[in-house]
Amino acid sequence: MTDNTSAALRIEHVVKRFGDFTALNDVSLAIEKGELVCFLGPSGCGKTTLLRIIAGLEVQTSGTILQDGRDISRLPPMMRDYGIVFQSYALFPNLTIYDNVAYGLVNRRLPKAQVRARVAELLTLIGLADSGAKYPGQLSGGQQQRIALARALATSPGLLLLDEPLSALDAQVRVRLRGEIRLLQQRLGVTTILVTHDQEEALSMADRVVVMNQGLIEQVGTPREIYSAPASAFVADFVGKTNMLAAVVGDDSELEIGGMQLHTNGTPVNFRSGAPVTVFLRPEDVVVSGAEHPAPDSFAGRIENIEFLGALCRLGIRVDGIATQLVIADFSPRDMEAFHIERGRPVRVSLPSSSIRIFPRNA
Amino acid sequence: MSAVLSPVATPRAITQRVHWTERIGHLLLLAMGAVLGIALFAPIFMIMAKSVEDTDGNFVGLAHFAAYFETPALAQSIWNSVWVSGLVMLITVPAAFTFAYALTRSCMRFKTLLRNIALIPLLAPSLLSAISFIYWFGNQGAFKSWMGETQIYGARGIVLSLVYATFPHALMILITALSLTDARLYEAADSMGTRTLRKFFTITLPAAKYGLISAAMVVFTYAISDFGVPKVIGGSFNVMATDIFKLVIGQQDFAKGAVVGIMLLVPVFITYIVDLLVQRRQMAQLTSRSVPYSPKRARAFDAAMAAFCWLIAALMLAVLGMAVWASFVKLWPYDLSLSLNHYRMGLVEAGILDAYVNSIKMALWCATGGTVFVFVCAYLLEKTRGLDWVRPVLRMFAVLPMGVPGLVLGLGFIFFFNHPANPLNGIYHTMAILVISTVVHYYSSSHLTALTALKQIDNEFEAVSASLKVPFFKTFFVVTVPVCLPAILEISRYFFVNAMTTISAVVFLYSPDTMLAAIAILNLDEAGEIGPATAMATLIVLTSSAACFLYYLLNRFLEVKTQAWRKPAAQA
Repeated sequence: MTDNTSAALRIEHVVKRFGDFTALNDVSLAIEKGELVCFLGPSGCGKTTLLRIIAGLEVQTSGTILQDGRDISRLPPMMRDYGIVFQSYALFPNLTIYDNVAYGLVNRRLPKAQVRARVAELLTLIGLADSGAKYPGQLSGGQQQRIALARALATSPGLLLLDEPLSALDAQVRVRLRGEIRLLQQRLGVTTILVTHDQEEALSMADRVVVMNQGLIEQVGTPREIYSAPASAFVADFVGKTNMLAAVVGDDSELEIGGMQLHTNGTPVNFRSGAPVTVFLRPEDVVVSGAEHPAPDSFAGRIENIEFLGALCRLGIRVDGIATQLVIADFSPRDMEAFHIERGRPVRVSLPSSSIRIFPRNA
Repeated sequence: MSAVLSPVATPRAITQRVHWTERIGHLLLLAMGAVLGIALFAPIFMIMAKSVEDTDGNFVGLAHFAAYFETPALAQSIWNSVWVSGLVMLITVPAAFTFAYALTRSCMRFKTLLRNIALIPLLAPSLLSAISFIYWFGNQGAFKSWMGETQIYGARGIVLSLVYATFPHALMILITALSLTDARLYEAADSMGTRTLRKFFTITLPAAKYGLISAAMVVFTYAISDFGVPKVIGGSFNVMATDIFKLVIGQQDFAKGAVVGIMLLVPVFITYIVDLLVQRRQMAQLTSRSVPYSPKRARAFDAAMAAFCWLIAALMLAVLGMAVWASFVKLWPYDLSLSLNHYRMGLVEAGILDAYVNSIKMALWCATGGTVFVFVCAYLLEKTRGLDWVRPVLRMFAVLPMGVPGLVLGLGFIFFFNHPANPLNGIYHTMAILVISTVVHYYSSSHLTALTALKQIDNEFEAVSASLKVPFFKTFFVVTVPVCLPAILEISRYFFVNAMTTISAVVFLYSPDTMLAAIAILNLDEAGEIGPATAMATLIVLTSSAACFLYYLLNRFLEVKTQAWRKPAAQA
């Protein structure tokens, strides 16, 4: 919060209460020009409420919203500057694609020829140049959502709001449209907020991800930061697959996991001795080696199940001394063959201390 | 930094500025609330007030109620009303259920035809059936001998006539209820080898349970508040509805009339609340994933169902047919040759045809003005924002009329609009008051039709419009109205037909200049001019049918015209 002027959108101390329920609890955030920011979180975390407050469709209980330095906190939606796309597309069913896209332009009393040129330009941009005369019902879901995008962009708004735009679509269409929206957004350089509960969507599209939980922002960061350096236990668990192992901090900063001891090798552990913590480790960071040549600091275990996921295999390993849960490790199918991995095979597991993250645990 | 700057005390919640376009919506909403307040709440309030004050306006507590219960004849009417309505309910609901079951669960033929025949009673005033039964079984009736020592006049006639009149109301509710069942439940039952009877009691009946309760409530309410039937065929058998009329019009005893009005309001309001609760549950039952049931052929079952339906249809046609035929008969029962005498002499030359013209005028006003009011109000309630304190009140106003018998509403209108201190008393005895009372009386069903249609369209149209800087009223005209046109037409048709056939609310409010067709029937019948009465009833049925047919054509035309976007080609 050093530079107050450059942000395209600045949210300051926004609180939203519905009766006794606090949907947003003092949320502050700055979004830069041309950025695509994802609001990511489970349902009920407040991400859609925040988007609707930015759009003026809900009114915050307190707090300020600045767009390009202008206070828009109390402006009705009609007087704000944004385009919006909803999960349901919200295309006008009785109007042609052309009329849908032109809807906001016609209202500005632009010359007809100019409207026509702009609609043609937008339809070409989204790859549906020939569909102008059709009705929304005659297009597929993915096509309809692209029309909704074109309609929202038609008036060249300073801000584009996308409310779970891909959630109603088939998995394959979703992945394709993900790329298309991102490309379009970068080409036009329009500041964009995307609300989603799909972490893959957030990680693959966003410049920055805002992870939200229970009305609070848990972390703001690039997709890489969010994934590899989660700021809280919630983020680590919500984004990506994770091993979560209950541990207790020992005297020499080592971690006691079940009956095992994990040396942290100099990695600072900012907890006092005896503190209950949770150790997080991504499955791809777990190192599995053969039982014949035990690596130092590794634990003995046995492969209990193998989940085939296509590009990789996920092993569930029962580590001696950790009775309550399996340690999950990812393996490429090629390595599977090289290591002769099969159920019941004894292995050694090491948890590299450079990859683990430690968060306090409510004992 | 920010922690220091932010104030410690929680400030008042932020309010958004209101755009001028939204202000237009708010003003409209307030105006509509005021109209409903004046035309619904105020009259009902006046009834309550009248029932506890004497002729000089002094508060007398429950004295009128006490006097009422000490009049044995009046107290007897309560019991009469209740058991007659209960009996009608017990006959109509099972019969209508069987009919609806046949329409939805059998493969019999001519379903549409049978359904349309069963809906005929909706096209006529309820007293048509009473007149017809008099022709069949009355003192000079075709089958008087069937009655033996007894008479059709009285409870028997009332029950028969009301069963006829209420049948289609129950039928429509039950068809909807039975259509809701999920076919997959039956498939699951079949896969477990469930017997037919068990399926009926474990799947069909529970699914239709709320529909059954709802139908029972609607039938009971209709029967207890109907006025035309007991007036025509009731003879000396008194019910609350006829008591009100006698007290108010005959004896000008407004206070006692108000007391009976409240006594009538109570059971109707109770059933209305039950119905409201039940409907809420039924809504929750509906899931978008349900698979519609399609019946399989079963020769014996289909034949039995068809036989039952044709029997009902034949009875329906016999009732209507007798009235129509009688309207052409020269002099019942002595000269059965056909003529147009009742129309020519009984209506045209007697100057009663004006009433028919008035009815059409009023029906057209309701079908246009009423429809616009209902739809705009439902739209503003459902799709716009702001003015949150008005909305719950208006929502209540919109569903309240269903719980108020027409007679009670009409009585309230007298009390309120005829009050010398009311600046609005200029509209008393005008066409306007007839239109307003009819629109209010039939408000709830129309409102629910509008609401259902509005709920089906995307909730974010207004949000998208606002983001595109398009005022909501433009989107209303360009998108909402075209998309909801079928529902709007249905509301308009409903208003037209009901305005043609209604008696209860308007019977207190017409003047010689604004006499309506349905009321003319009542007056003709009372004067013993039963021939012209049937002629007028026939005219009403004809007009309602023609209107329904026109609306049907309009709808078909619309369907073809909007096919491009309503019925999309196979999805790409």
